[in-house]
Amino acid sequence: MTDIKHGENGYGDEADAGFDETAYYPETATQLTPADRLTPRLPLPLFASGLYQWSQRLLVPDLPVRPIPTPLPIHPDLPIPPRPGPGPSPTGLETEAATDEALLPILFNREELRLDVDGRYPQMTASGTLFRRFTMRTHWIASLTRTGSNSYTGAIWFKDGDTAGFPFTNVNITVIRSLFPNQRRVTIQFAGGGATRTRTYGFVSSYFHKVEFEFDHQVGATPVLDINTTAHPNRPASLGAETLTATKVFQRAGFDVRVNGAVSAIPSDGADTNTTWSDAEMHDAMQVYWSRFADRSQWAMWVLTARQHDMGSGLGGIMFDSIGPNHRQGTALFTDSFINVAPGGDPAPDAWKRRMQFWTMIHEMGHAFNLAHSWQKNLGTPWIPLAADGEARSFMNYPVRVAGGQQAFFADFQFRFSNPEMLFMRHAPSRFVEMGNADWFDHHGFEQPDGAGELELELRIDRDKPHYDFMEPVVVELRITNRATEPRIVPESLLADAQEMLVITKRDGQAARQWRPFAHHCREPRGRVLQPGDSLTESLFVAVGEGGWHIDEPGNYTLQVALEANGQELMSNPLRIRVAPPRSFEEQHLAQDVFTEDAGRVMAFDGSMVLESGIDAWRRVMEQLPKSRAAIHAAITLATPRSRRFRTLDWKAARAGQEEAKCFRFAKVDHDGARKLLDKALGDTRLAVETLGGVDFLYYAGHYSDWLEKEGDKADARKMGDACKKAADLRAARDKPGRERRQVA
Amino acid sequence: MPVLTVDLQEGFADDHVTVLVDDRAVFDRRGVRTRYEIGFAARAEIELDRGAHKVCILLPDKGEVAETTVDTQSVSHVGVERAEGQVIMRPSAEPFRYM
Ligand SMILES: [Zn+2]
Repeated sequence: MTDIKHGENGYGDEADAGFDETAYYPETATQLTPADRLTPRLPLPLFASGLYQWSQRLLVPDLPVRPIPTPLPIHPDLPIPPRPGPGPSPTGLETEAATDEALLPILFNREELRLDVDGRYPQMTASGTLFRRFTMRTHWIASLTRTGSNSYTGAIWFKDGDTAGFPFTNVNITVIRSLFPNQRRVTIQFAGGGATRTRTYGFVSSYFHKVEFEFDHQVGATPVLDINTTAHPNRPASLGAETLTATKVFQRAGFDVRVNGAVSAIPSDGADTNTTWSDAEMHDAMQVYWSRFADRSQWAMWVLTARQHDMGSGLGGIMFDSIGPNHRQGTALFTDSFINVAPGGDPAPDAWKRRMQFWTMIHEMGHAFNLAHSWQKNLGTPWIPLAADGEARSFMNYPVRVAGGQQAFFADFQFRFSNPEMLFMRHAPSRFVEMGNADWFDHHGFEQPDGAGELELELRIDRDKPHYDFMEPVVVELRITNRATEPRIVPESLLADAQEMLVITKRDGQAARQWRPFAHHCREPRGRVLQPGDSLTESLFVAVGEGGWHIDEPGNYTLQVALEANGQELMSNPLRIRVAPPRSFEEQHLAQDVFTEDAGRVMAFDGSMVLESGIDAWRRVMEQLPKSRAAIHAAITLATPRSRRFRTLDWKAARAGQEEAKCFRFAKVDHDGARKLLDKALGDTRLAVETLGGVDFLYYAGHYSDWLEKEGDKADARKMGDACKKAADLRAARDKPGRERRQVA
Repeated sequence: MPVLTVDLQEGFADDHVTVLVDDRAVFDRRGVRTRYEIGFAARAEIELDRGAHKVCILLPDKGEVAETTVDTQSVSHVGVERAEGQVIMRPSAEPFRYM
């Protein structure tokens, strides 16, 4: 059970509501220009720092509509839809500088901006991340100088990721401040590198990142989760009196902190209370007691207060989670250690101990943010060249290591991280997905995006076991479900436009490959309302795509899909499937003709009149393997062009500039041939649903029923209608257990 | 019998480290690596007679060596760091602390 408590300053869901001005904003606005001082001040200082975002706009429909599954779009008029040119310009908050944007080879779908010019500990820095369909991320950081009351300029000094489409070297920033968060804007003019570009970002939060903490403890180890900053007399004279918590410390570092209130008291191991902890034991405890534990990266950490580590009383705390792919999730501190032994003669030993235990907790949490010790900054592989600062008055320095020891340290310690540490936490690139590198998938799959939960993406199939016959074209289904308690709007074509998602196929023992569809359907981005619990499902013919067949050999495969919806990155479950070996020499022989680009294209577009060799391959499948599942797909492929006035382009006429009507040739509708094939394909409902998938079955059977009705064959039309009902029931029965399992409390 | 604790601390990266006391090897380990989150790599605890002893740290693969003399009367711990190709030894009467 999770019991999420917002930061103690009473955050609501609205990012800006109840913002703790004292936590993040400075007591004195030191960044004011003379112009500011002349302006009458509002009661609240209008700070500009925080997180901003730009993304493609979604058109919202006027009325909420219940979703109905939309079939995979089929272009009835052209055998192969032409690949469109560049898509429509992204629409954001602003008018794009279209001419300049068009010069760039890459268009970006979503951008984050972190502006850090005022508020608590301003770093006079802007940083941004540009996201493009998971496969590309670009990160930049610029140092800023103030040029006016609402303007800044600076050079980009750090770039990371796909920088080829991002030549810029400078930024000019204009800020619109407002009491109303939805009116706050930042416009950046990027310049240098032979290009310019202007983008306006909308306000998201006064913080740079969200993070969640959970504090658990071992029975017998008393956690210190807050301290009075003035309880110990050895402190800077300027240090204000307050109750300081981890939430406040990290809010001031720029984080939107949530504390998970599901506190666990971990029993000591029986009567043997002297049992010490190994790192492995703490990792196990983290899996059991941390309600947020997951084998993936997330902006969340577990903080354990325990009695003692195997290393003995000389270890005050440790970020123990440094092994394996998802490290830095767990930290611990130890009460039966030197941090609970005040130096002899200390004037306030109890306050010293509380302060040291609190300090150690924040120190270990700093390690979980990947901060090194102050004297280690130049060791290892620092993210930027850093100088070691053994005298830093930071949570990341050992008090005893500075000149004058802990006495000197705390006399001058303001309970904060250093500026380079703030810069790192606020502006360094988040771990990003490294695409095109096959190895990552072998180890831990995709990096799980942050903030998953509201929308769920599922890869599913309509069969009991994920086993496929050799040469059976693999069709899977992609389903997005609203798991929130409120309706959510998603783009209507979200699942239909495979070009907009990242689809990975991987055969065991081979490199992962990115699947791309043959065609890109360009559409107006229209919104579709998903009520709580509602889903949108689409089929995905993943067996073959641009560049060839993906599933054409016997063996085990993993399929996974990632896409972006409403600025949220969604990752499907990895779907494991098994493809059986060929049953005969005949199958093996036929496979050479089936696993060709033409045969793949013909099937992907449900038939063609022009790709002769592809058509012939499927005709031979029907003749030679009539009882195979592949024959069901072949029948659909061959039937579709027969069932309508199939239109093909006459290139000669088109090139000669003939009028449009004369450029197309129409094939005759072959009623009997089409019926024979469709009866063969859809006759056994259960089998057809299994191999085609429910979505495609309902689409084909529904269209067939309509067609029969139009042809005047009412009885057979009704029969096909009944088959649709049976298919829908089969699907519902399959979904039921899953739906219950995923029930949201 | 007093115990001398030798802590190998910062700067070790899969190194072969030998600790010699009075020219006798008391610790010999390959793959010594600093855990930067605590600034600690490995520990050797050696029982010694009271009095002065020669302590030598040797990294045979890197050709690095450092030597010091400690008296068990005043020294119970030695911290060892590697920095910029040098081995630095810090004798102490107090245990080293990590976090
Ligand atoms: Zn540390």
